[in-house]
Amino acid sequence: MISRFSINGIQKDFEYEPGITLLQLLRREGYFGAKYGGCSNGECGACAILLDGVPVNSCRILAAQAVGHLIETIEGIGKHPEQGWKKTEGLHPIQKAFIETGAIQCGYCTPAQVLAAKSLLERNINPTEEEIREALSGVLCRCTGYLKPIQAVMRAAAVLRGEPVPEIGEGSISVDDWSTSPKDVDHGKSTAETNGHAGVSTKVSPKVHITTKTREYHAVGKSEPKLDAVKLVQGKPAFTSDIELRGMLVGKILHSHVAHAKIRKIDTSKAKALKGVAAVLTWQDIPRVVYSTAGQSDPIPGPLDMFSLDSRVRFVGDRVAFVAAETNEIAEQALKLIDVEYEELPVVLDSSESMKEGTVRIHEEPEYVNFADSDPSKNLAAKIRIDIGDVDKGFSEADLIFEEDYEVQKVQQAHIEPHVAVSYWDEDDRLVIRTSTQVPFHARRILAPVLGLPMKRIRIIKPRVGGGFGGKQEILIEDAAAHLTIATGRPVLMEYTREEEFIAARSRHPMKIHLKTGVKRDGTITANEMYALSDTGAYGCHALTVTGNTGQKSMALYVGDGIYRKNPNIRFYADIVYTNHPPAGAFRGYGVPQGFWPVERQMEKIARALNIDPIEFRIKNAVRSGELHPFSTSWSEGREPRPEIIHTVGLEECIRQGKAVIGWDQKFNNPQWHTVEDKPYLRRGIGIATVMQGTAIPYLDMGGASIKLNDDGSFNLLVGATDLGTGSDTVLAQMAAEVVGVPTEDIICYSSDTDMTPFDVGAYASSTTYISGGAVVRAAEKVAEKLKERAAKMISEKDGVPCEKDQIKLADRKAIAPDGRCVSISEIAYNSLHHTDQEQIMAVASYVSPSSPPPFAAQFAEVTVDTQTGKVIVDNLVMAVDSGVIVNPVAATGQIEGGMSQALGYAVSEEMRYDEKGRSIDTNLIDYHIFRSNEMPGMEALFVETYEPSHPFGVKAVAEIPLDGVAPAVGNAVLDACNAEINTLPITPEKVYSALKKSRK
Amino acid sequence: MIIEYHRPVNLEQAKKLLNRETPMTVPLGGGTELSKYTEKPIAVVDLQSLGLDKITTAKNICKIGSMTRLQDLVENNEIPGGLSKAARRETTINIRRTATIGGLLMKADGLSPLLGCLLALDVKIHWEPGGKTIYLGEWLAKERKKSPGKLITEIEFTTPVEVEYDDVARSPEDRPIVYVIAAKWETGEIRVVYGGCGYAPVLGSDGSKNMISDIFNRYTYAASMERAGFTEYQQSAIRTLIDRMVPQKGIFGGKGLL
Ligand SMILES: Cc1cc2nc3c(=O)[nH]c(=O)nc-3n(C[C@H](O)[C@H](O)[C@H](O)COP(=O)(O)OP(=O)(O)OC[C@H]3O[C@@H](n4cnc5c(N)ncnc54)[C@H](O)[C@@H]3O)c2cc1C
Repeated sequence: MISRFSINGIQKDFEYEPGITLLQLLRREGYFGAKYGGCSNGECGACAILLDGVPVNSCRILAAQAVGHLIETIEGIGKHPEQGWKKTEGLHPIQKAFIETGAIQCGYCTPAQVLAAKSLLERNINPTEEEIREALSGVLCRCTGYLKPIQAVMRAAAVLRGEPVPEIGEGSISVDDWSTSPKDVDHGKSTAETNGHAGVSTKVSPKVHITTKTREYHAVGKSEPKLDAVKLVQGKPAFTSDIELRGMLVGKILHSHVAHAKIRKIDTSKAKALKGVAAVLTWQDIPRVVYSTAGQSDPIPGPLDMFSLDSRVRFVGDRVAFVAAETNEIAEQALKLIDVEYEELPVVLDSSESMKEGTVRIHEEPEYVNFADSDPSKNLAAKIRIDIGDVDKGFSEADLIFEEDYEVQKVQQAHIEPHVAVSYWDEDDRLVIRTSTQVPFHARRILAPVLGLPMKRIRIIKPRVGGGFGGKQEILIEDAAAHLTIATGRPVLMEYTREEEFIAARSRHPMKIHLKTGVKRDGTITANEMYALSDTGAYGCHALTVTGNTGQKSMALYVGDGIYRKNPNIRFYADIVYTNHPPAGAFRGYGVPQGFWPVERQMEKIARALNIDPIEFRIKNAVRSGELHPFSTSWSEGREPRPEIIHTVGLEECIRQGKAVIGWDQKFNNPQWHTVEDKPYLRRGIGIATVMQGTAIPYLDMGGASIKLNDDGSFNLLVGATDLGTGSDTVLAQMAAEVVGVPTEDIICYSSDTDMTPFDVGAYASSTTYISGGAVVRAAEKVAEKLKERAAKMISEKDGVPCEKDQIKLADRKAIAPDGRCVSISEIAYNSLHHTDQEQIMAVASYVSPSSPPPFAAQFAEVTVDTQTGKVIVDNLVMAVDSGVIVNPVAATGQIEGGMSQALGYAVSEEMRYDEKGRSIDTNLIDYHIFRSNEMPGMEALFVETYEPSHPFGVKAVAEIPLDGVAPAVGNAVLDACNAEINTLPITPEKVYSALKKSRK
Repeated sequence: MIIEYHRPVNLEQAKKLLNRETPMTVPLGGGTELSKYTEKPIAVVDLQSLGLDKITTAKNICKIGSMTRLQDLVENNEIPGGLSKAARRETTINIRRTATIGGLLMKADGLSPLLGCLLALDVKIHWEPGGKTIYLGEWLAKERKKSPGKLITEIEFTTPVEVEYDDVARSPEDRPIVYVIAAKWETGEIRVVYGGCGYAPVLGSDGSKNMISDIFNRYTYAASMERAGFTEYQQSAIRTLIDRMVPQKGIFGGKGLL
């Protein structure tokens, strides 16, 4: 068919098949701003465009249906204002507001959000917050928690109404200004009455209690807009699948539909005979190389137990064959034509059964490589035994012992951009893999043997990443795309569907945890013991390290008081077992949320049983600054442990500030507050959880950076660190800018490409700002030295009066002598590149840290519980964080808000469930519910800065800690509301109902 | 696989196309379902130009065209508020702007709040060719198998009617675990529908205010709910919501279970 389409005001004739969707047509024609979220029901909304002015999901209508209607895509909304000699009208006020307010993180759903906002504001220039939330609710965002996009729409509306808007930096105020205000946020009435709408006014800048040091900086500590925001807000083709290579094939994976089987026979002849099929690969066609998909440093701290393709399948979703074909449809058809004869094996799905004698063995392959205590004969992927102090003595000294079982579920990272990779041979016969990854350098190292290529013949390019959250710290599909490129010689695009994300990607490890705590009657903890049974699924990727973190972070917080403080008694044992579930892996928080669920629930129950204020109880036993990290002498992710002192602990201040903002003192122990007028079946509750994380892996995580001066005084900053949308490129640029004395906009940051950028372990373990930032600062300092040296010479030569290099300051794009004489950075650049003693001023540096300074936080939740149905509405979340110095307050707030919203799903709605045959029940984002903009509770993030001495700018991590405390705070709030004891996540209406029924018996 | 796309401009053209034996030809509403790839070769008849997207409320009858988008129900102030609420709870706003009442009637299941609401409203479905009608309840009871036509043109229900909607979900916008809808007419007739599982929503009661407590005792409820596949928890939550919705009717003594 040929039809005329009206796109962005231009009429265009396109030839197309009647069955193609509008999304397929738009992307084929280069409108890459409409994104593919992998879903089959249009539930993510990343593909939304405007049809006759209203947002519709282009993946769920046929292109033909749009003929005769006005189509608007992000490409038609606004452009970069300066295009050389050609000037444009610039960005639309909505796009500008998205940039200014930090509403863009990964940017994958940004075009759809901007379009939804445009549609709303064209009809209603003065929308309420609720109307904005509703308008954005068709687009799922996994990064932001929606607060900033809502603020952006409010700001844009004000601009469009011609009203003045405040500067973004306004609002970072000193601590005393806000801690004393008893009810800083008017949380109004229970959101149970307003269907969960937050009903709080939005604020752009977070409250930050800044350190005196921060006040001296010009770039660090400022809410600079994200460097990549301008391209993302325009929907530029910045993501992995936004390219079209000549002759590109579509790669697909045939996934097993049985949970455990040997492949007796596999016949690919019919599939190969299908017209348009370029290759079909099975385990018989490619080398058998054992490896681990975990994107970690060498040596991988876990077993090698995986093959690209194997003659055995170990979970529903495991790989059976790879297909490359001319189109997606042909590839899908080819998958159906592959005949597989399975010899089914017994299935083990219950982790408690896994290690029992007589249970089927999941790994029998002779190539299996053990790590530490892994033992495939027992289905044991990893084992941890940590004893600190004398735990048994500690228990014998306790007045009371509290002991309970807890359970945490399997959940999905659910980044909106699915896993996607494009592989091709370049003109030098080097294999290029463009991939949405958190770990480009690990990917290159791990893939080389798997593909039979020397590492130097592989190049990994990481474009913008549409969210990762740990899911892309995995070499998940790059090998499959690459095998198909090797087989066909052609470029291959391999992109997961949402269903594949659920059945064949990674997830958070589900665990069964037993926690035993000994306490004195005065509330002193004498010993604490945790046993975690962790289900790694069919493969052991991240098995040891994730579960190690479960104990290492959560059990480190409460060391006890008095004599126990100096010599805490802590035991953490864990078995990480194989089952026939899809493998678990890395997920933001990396084992720590699993640990804090039992720890923080148990602390609450103990305090209540002892009749001690739960906050006082926590503070009494929590670790303090200057104390040894209790685990540092006994555990370091399977490597040699070395003692570490915790220098900065802002926990008490976080609690104080968080309490003030949520209005704790007015609510806790206030019987009247706990009721809802005219609805006797509703009960309100308030809860807290205090948490800690880590910052990078000491003596292991390494980041590199190089900085190069350009003629105009700008700098190229090349980092191997991978910005997943977190804003790390911007934060690293801010640090560089601070050192070399230029505004952040003069730093052109590029990350990452294994051919071009220095090595970096990648984006995980909350390490980028701290580790890669350390490398950037060192490199920048070297460059600054050279700038000063040349500047001193230039200044001295100008008028013959000598000037000392060490006295020169770099600021305002200049090198300035104490007497005011100066040269600009650009003059230095011209001098060095063109005029005198020519040299390229540049430097490379790297950084490894001897410590992992923990960030701390107090997380608060307010809930309303329907005591008859068990329905729980989370009304408010507040989090006060000590993450050291906050380099970019708006970006950091985005991390907290986004993290809290993911953690909220963990608390109440997200769960990957399986039937008795190991088949996934939740394979889309309808059954697996992640929060939308119109149901978020009120949220507020506060920062209590400390100055971490181990980092040049005093920073600690911020990205993972928000995942840790929401679930237990919500659990504690439910307990506070109605005495329902829920030990198993998520807190569903049914569980609350059952708990209440039990408690009333 | 969609091999043909047609966009007739009048009903006659549409009927003609839909009457063809080959290729298999089906109506296209919003396309949220039909745009998914199918292997079977089909032709689609897009109904967007037939003017079937009107909502009219006159003479004790409300008529809703089959091409009415679910979002139009959300935004319409003339129809019962509970109907708008149920439409809102059906799916997300972007999909609601595309999906139609016609498509929903064909596809929705027992989890669908809107289908439940239409059942509570006792809607009559108009079909073409032939101009025949069938009540939704009757059609669902026949498992939608013997449709009296090929194309739904509109639905209608008697007004004035009050509609109450309530549900329980894991979060405010999550798909309901259970929902309950009660429609009440001036005559005193009340229809209560609940859903949350299975092929179709369940009509819990259809009767006068007085009949309701007789017909609707705990035991018949429990039996019908169990048959429909509701879990014990769902049954309890449904009872609670019904009690709250119509406590004055004496169902379950207005107490709920707990
Ligand atoms: C995100 C999402 C969530 C959903 N949640 C639920 C849910 O919770 N419960 C549930 O039951 N459903 C749910 N659905 C399904 C939803 O109800 C249907 O997808 C939608 O209503 C179909 O409408 P449509 O107009 O797009 O149909 P189309 O895709 O156009 O058509 C669907 C079917 O109906 C037929 N059809 C369409 N119009 C007519 C007509 N006028 N006369 C005769 N036949 C017609 C078509 O031939 C086709 O067979 C969900 C869908 C999405 C995308």
